[in-house]
Amino acid sequence: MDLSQIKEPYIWTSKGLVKESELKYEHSWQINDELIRFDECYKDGNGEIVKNSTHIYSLKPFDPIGALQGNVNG
Amino acid sequence: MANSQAVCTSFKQEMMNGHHAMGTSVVRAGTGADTFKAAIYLASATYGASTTAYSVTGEASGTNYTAGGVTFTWAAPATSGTTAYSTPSAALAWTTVTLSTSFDAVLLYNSTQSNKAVAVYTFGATTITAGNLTINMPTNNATTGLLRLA
Repeated sequence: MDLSQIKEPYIWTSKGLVKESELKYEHSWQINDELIRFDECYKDGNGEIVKNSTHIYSLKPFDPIGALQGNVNG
Repeated sequence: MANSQAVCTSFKQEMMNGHHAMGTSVVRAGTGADTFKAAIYLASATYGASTTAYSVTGEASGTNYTAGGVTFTWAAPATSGTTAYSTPSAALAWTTVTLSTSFDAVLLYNSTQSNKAVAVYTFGATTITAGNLTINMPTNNATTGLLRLA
């Protein structure tokens, strides 16, 4: 494919380069106390997911290692 | 001013930096930081607190995913108040991967020290098709840093 001749956007999918206009884009957000999660996907005309990505932002760190503190006489 | 019982904050930071060995330790090649890696695990795997080291068992596989995962660095361990903390210095990212079998966890481990396990982070069942997986880290401070000695 001569990329210089492309007149409209293509994106890379599991089925190779596909015109973006031929795909359906969907996205969703999940937000809770532990994370913010953004999912996005492209489906072809048959409804098959041909590309999807997930981006996670961690809000909750691991519990602090706090057992170091203690009373010697405890 | 009276004495007060406490674990010294400097000790917490020094533990993160490998200054103290209360049991049999290891011979270190130098004073630099170890190499740490992050590997993805299938939702069917059973990694958690009892995990001691990286293993290929249950690890994700697919296009553009390399067994063993990706290398990352920790922010230099710091202290605030009486808490020592550190967080991976950048997002963990896999680009243009296809991981068709559901996965839900990342194992952080020390590649330099015989792949010893550090932590398991879970985020919900996920598959990726010809796309990206990005795990952005929390703000690195004494409250939200990923690893904290409080």
